[in-house]
Amino acid sequence: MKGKHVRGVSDLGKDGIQEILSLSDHFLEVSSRRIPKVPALRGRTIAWLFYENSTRTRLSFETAAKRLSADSMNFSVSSSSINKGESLRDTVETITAMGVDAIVVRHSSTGVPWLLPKWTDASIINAGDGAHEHPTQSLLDCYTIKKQLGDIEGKKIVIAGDIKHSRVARSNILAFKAMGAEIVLVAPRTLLPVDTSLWPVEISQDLDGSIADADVLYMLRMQLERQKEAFVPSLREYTNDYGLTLERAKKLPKHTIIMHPGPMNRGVEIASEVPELDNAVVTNQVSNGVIVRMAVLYFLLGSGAELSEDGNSNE
Amino acid sequence: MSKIVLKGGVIVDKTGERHADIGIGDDGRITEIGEGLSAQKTIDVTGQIVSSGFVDLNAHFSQPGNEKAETFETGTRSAVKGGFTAVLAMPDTGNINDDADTARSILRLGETALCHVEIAGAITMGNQGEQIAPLSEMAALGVRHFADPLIAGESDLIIRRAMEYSQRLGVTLHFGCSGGGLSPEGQMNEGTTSSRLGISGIPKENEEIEVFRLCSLAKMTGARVHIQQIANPQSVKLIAEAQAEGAKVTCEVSPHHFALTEVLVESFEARYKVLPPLMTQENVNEMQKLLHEGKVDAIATGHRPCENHLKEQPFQEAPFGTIGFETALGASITYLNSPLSAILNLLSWRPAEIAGLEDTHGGEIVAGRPGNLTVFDPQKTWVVNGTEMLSKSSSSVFEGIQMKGLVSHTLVDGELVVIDGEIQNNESKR
Repeated sequence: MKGKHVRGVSDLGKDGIQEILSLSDHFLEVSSRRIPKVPALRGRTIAWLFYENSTRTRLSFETAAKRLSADSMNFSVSSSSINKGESLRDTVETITAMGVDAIVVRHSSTGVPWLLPKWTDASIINAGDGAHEHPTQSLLDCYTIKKQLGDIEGKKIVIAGDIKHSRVARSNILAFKAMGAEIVLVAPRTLLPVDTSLWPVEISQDLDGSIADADVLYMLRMQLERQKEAFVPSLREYTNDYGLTLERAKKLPKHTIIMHPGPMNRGVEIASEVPELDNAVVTNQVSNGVIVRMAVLYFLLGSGAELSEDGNSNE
Repeated sequence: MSKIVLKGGVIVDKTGERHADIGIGDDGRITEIGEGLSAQKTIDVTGQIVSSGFVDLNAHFSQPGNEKAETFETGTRSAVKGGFTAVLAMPDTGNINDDADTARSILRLGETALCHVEIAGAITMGNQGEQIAPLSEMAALGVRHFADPLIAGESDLIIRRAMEYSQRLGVTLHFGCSGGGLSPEGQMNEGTTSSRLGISGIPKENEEIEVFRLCSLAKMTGARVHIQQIANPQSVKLIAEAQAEGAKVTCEVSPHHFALTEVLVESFEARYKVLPPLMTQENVNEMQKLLHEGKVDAIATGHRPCENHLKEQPFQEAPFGTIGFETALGASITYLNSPLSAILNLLSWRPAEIAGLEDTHGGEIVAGRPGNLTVFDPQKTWVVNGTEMLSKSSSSVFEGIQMKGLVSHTLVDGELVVIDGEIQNNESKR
């Protein structure tokens, strides 16, 4: 089942997702130890290739790599030849020549993770490409839902907000569907892709109607520039119609969990008080992110034997 | 006695099809047509088609200004290998050709070409759409075409003025319709694939709207207008209507728009990034039908070479463009289920008229005409390999595709510039 890359949800499929979710349970245990570190990837080298600014995703990956004792090298925008105009190909070939087992890449252009194997033998992990995919976000979201609700299959998941520009939404639609969830997308017509018939999802422009029986309400970040680009008349109007106001949050069924991939625009897509509610699991998503990314790195770079031995030796 | 004889071929021209040899004289003109001709040099073209040379209404050479991408010399090596004997050079990929000095220098550069080069001036200064370029000064140098290959944001008014003002010069105005008011940042066709990939799309209605207003203004002003690289079949219908109402509007289609689909973008390879973008299968089918029915005037390559390293960039960062000369014939034969005469009408006869070159190109193959001829084997199959092409760029949207139909010899003004697919390195003759 083990593939070479995690570029998109389709590199994993349902079996791959399930394998990573069960590996994640193991790393949850590792992370709860007094010294949450195993030598599972000792001697392995991972390069961070971040062409877009990222704090949370990168820190999450770095933490995951450290807990697995992997070495890493950093080729991020602000600190490397990238901003001296070096081409993607040259950068990738340079990293490869230094010796690297995996490249974690984020890029503003769709498809970059799929181009890299032309220039490197390393495993590719997509940390977000354009508005296309962000598979590790979906994996951590699946893990969070599974931990909170016991299962993903049969659950009604409402994804609300700027679907059109969202790589999180694109990966989540594929992952949630693979895991058997029922998906409703809620957004104004301007913030939906022109053709949604390619996904087996329900489309709605009515947030209140859609969330009445939702199991998961997944709010997407609303970029502040969208107002200038005339996708919505004003952020105020957007918040009224599509934001998770405190009122709406209080009307949610008791079991419904509230998720957000961060960073949040408090007061726009999510009211300032909402993340503090008991059913908001935004910080769980963040801590699960480290665990799931440990599982992803181990899934691609580790071997089962190391894990069980190391697990024993650390107890 | 003739200097060269093309022996044993099938001549296909406007008058039909016949088996005959063609003799070319020292003055570069056809001297005789008939059986059993002989000459100092005989080229055996048995089983092949001899036609008038192809004429490309839409080619970019990037010179002067961006010689890294292409020059007239490299670009026309590729053109003649593809069977073209005349090309119309667009004003926009090197220094913008918007004044007499630039036009003069480009005309001089055209002399390094291996085939006839017509040059197009810009319609507005810097192609900015604000101030009309000195059309009259350029026309005085012999410029008979003006083009705005990426019409975007020009007001109706400035287009009207350019159409009105240029009338007395007897020139043709060429417009591309893919610059988009509806999607200024569009990277590919808007639809299922763009939705799935999260790439901003260009709706096909964008072209329709541009074509509609160009047709209206052409009708209003009586200007001679040529619309470039139609990708949306609906636009062809709008143009046909305008033609029926008396507008002097013609149009062209590029091979990839009747051959390839947007699904190729799923590879994320920037070689599939072209403008207008690759369309859906449904569109491609409809476009083939319209070409077959004779609703389109010309096939033009839109040859727009990009430096190879730029095409290795991520899709959203790479420039638009593909090379096109050497695949035009093969794509036309492979993807259009049309008789050869219909294909030659689109590649040679009709574009020669639109370019104003009907005295020297296209048309009938008769004694006395200049020897601008192409010989090709319509049955020959081959696989496209960009690195083997003669353009400086090897980024072809047709990479790896098997085609039927390959040019073997090309004669420009009676000189054999291509023999058996090889460029003849005698001094550029023009």
